[in-house]
Amino acid sequence: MIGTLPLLAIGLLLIGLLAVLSRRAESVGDESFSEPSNDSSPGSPRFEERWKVIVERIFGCEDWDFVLSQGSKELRRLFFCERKQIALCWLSEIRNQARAAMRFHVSRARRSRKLAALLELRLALDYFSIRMKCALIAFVLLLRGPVALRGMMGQASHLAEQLRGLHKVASQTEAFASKTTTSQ
Amino acid sequence: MARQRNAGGLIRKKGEGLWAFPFPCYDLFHAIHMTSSHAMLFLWLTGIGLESLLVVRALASGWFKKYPFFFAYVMSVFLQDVFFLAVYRFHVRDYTAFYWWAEFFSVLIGSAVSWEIFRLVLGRYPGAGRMARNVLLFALIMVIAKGLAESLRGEISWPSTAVELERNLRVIQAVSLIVLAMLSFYYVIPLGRNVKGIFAGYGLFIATIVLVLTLRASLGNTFQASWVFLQPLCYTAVLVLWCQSLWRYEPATALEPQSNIEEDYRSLALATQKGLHQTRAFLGKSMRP
Repeated sequence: MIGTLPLLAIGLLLIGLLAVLSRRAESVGDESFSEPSNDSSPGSPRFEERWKVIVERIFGCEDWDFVLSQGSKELRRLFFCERKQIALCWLSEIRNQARAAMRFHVSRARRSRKLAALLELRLALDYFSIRMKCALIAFVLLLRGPVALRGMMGQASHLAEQLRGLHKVASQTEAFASKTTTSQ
Repeated sequence: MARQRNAGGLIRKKGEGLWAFPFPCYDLFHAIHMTSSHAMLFLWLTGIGLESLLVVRALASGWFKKYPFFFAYVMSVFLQDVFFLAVYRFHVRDYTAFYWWAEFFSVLIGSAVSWEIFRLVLGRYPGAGRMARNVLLFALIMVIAKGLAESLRGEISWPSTAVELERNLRVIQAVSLIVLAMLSFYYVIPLGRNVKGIFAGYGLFIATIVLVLTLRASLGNTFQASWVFLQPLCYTAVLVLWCQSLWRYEPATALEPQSNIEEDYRSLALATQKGLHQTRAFLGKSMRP
């Protein structure tokens, strides 16, 4: 009735999932989702301004052109290495923020009786698309450095905007949660 | 369940139909020959020893009241093992018939254990529980519809042996456990030491049965020698895992105080929808040059 390969895949998938589940640390309470100060919160104008500056600085060609004009190979190598590190740090920050937002959502939503499967699925897909994009950008960064990402800068900005969308959702949930906790 | 270790050569796969169940044609003497080795006997006795230890610990630490179906399952397997040892020793000719009756009883009580694992893991998370039921129902309908369609077109045959029938029943359990594992992973559901042990052990047991029965059904006699040895080995590993995680009763950690989550979730759903629309708009923009 069912083919051999799918059955083998089912068995192996179950073993893999159980291995991951067994190694997972227990977590009970809601994941802490620290609300950033007003100036640095994702929705604030100052944050957006700074965010743009940072992204343009990391992935822009201004500094790179200047270093190229100096003609020193060693300087170029150093610049390339440092810029790559900074870009990776920036990427890891995005990833951490996305993870924190998602954990916050999940820790609040999991107790609900009225979980909407499709809505949850769509949110999960958005989160995983952010993770995939992060992985893709990290791969290009490691392979070619931030300068090669100049063409991808637009995409990186969109990624940041996506992240802001997630943060917005999480912040609103936080507000509702605190409201209901105090009303008890 | 544990007698599967001795069921090595039970089925000769030569078109024995479902109608012959539960007394299909068995290659019993081959099985007896294969299972009479000292290693197999050692594994059998080790299994009985570990099962009795598990039963004693359940009674001593009191977890048998908290996990009644699992305890009933362990108890029944233990009693069947002792009974089958006696049948094997004194009435070896009846062994095969008893084996398949007991095997399907094990599948039945195993389903109750699956249900208990669902209850233990998702009992405090009704929304996630409902989601799991819906996903499972959808998966089952899809699988059954596909099977029926292919069967009506004559592309495949219905399970022709008890091995295939049991394998298909175990696959349904495996799929339900996969859904449960994914949900508990995604929602970071705290399980507690006992439940985690029951889940991991039973899941491992089901996964290895699916793998072994699939290989047995597709490879046939070439896999026979491995089957009679692999299955008891996996089962012994599962018993060790259960003994370790169920040595004492350890309930899952208490949950965070209940807030008015239903109102939260309604608001959260609206906010999420907004966020998703926004995200889709950003994605649309990123597609444009």
